[in-house]
Amino acid sequence: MNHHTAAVGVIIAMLITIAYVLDPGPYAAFAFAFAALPLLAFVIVFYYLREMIRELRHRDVL
Amino acid sequence: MVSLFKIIGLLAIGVAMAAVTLASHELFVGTKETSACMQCHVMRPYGNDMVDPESNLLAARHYRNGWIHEKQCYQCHVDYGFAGSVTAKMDGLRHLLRYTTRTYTEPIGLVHPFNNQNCLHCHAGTPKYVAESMHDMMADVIASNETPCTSCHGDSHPSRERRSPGHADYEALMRAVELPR
Repeated sequence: MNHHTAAVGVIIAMLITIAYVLDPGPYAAFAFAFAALPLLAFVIVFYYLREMIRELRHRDVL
Repeated sequence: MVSLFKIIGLLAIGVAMAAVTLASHELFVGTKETSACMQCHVMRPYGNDMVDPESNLLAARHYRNGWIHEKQCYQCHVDYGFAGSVTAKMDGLRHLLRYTTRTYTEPIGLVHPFNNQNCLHCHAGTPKYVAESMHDMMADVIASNETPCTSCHGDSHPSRERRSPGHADYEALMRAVELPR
């Protein structure tokens, strides 16, 4: 996953999240629960954590 | 000196974290409210009957007399204890999935038999409950869910027939629910 893909994923997840916050209905709840949250989790796990581990290894912390 | 770009970036991260926190709170806590249940049209018959002052069904009597002050759907339908909360969340996600993908048929019904323990959580041990000798005589079948509380105390909600399209009561039960409190 590159920077661009991760950024697009986060932006889509945030748009869904904000839509749900502004108008909490069943369809927005469905999109948040089954799209936004998994997307955010995926990006965090597979991109940011990987980047963090890579950085820590680069600095000989890990 | 911190650049404007970094300040905007930090603000954006703050707003994003706040939005995710608010949305998660709404999804996991806000959905306990009765008004959240009533957002799906299939739940309207339950809500309309519950707030109907003329109804003598169990849910309406509990509501009318203020026996359950808030989160009426959640208080009766969620099993008590940690496992009950987890099961409720899983059920809620399943309901969302079924509702939004329209993979359900009207009238809807319970997947599992209603748990008598949810009634007993409030009623067991109260003077009125203890005074009724039948409760003691039937303690085993009540505890094992073999005999539901509603078999003696009447239905909690409108029958499947009344909630079915085409029934004379259907249109009235399906109007938008107005919760006074």
